[in-house]
Amino acid sequence: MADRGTDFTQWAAAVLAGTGWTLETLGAAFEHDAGDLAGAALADGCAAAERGRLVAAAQAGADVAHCGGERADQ
Amino acid sequence: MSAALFDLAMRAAARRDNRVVDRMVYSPVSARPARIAVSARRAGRQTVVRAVTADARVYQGAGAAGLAAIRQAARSAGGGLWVGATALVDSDATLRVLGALAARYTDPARCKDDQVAEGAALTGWWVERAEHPGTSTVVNVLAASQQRFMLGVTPDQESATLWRAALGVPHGLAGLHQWYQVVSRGTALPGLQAIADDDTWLLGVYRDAVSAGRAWDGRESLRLAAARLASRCDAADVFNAALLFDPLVRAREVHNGFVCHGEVTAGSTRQGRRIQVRAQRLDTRLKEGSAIIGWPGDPMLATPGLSNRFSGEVLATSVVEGELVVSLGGLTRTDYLPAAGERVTVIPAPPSVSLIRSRRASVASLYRQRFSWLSQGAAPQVGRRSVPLSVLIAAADEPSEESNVP
Repeated sequence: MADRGTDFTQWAAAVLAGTGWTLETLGAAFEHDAGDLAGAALADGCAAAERGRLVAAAQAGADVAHCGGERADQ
Repeated sequence: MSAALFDLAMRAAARRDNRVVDRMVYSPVSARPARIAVSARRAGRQTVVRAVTADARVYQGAGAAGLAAIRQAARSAGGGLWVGATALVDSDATLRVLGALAARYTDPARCKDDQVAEGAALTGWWVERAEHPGTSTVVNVLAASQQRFMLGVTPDQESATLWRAALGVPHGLAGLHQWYQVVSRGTALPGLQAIADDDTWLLGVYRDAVSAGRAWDGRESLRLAAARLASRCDAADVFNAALLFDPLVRAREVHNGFVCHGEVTAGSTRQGRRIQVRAQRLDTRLKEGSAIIGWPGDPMLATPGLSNRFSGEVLATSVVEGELVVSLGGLTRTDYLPAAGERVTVIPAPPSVSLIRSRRASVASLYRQRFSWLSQGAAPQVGRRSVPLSVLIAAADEPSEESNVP
């Protein structure tokens, strides 16, 4: 059975090839230079993932509240 | 290419946090109140169909009995041919198998009873409307999950089994109902009602055919053919526009050129009603003459209400000192007009549903009139003329089997 972690690393390296970014440096994408389109896309992707996390938490909380239970974030 | 990097960042976040990442705020699916989970597989020369209602009642059969089972399940869920139930599936293959089965029972006269005829018509309706984005007739929960969420694996590792595990959906056909609940969580994308209205309209067409004892895939009038074609085109436009109302989709589409984000360098005056937006990205898809809407703020902020938006059209695009300059004009009178120095988000204006309906009504009226130019259209005559070499070369590159089908 293929190692999913290794597969992901190799796949990500192939997608990032030529951009100057790696899986390890993604966290620094928010500080990309002006004109670095790859850095901008990575930074926006990271920001969207964080926003998505907040959205999911809010919606899950709303679902719990709707069912008469306590909110997940309380 | 940079949208692929946006996706990669989301996948990496999902993998790092070992969680499913939401890539949409709104749910991309719309469904009718009655829903049944459906599976179909070929067993030898037979097609075996199973349908499960939300309260776990199972209906199944092979061949014509399978179509009758669909009708029984739909009725049990409160959505027969008169109301229409949504089919929940986890693969497009299910619809292909069902479509082939229903195609053998399109004519009520060739069906053993009404149950088979109605089941076949309902199935045919699913198959046709499934090709319309945003339809309420079929929800492919796997495809909807891929649209709404992101997993921390490579794209080729995604499978129905993996999605079920990630979303906590139990195995089996009945699990599709829970899967639907997960993928439809929250609020549906605004603007999909127009597509659901078309779903209902076509159900009526199928129902009328069955009630009159006619085949639902029989010869159709020009008016009906035109309405079907218009519905197909409009569904794609309406759904794509609805997607751009989702803040997370907008954040991604900046990197595909569908969303323009930049600084207003020349603000609007009450008289001029023109602005210029300067953006770092050059790859905008906004073209001269395109209708747009916009508002202050980043693409990932929630879409503001009508009073805080501006609308107009693209007058020109140019590149100045390495930056894109988009001139917008014809800004309509709203409470908000952008001022110089503001950062704004600009997207293509969504199609107007009232205009779509009005256009369709006009076309239908022209087809109904005996002597209108549409109903009297003369059959095209064969004409011969020389064809440019470039056209011949382009035609030679087309896949032959499909392009030659009339």
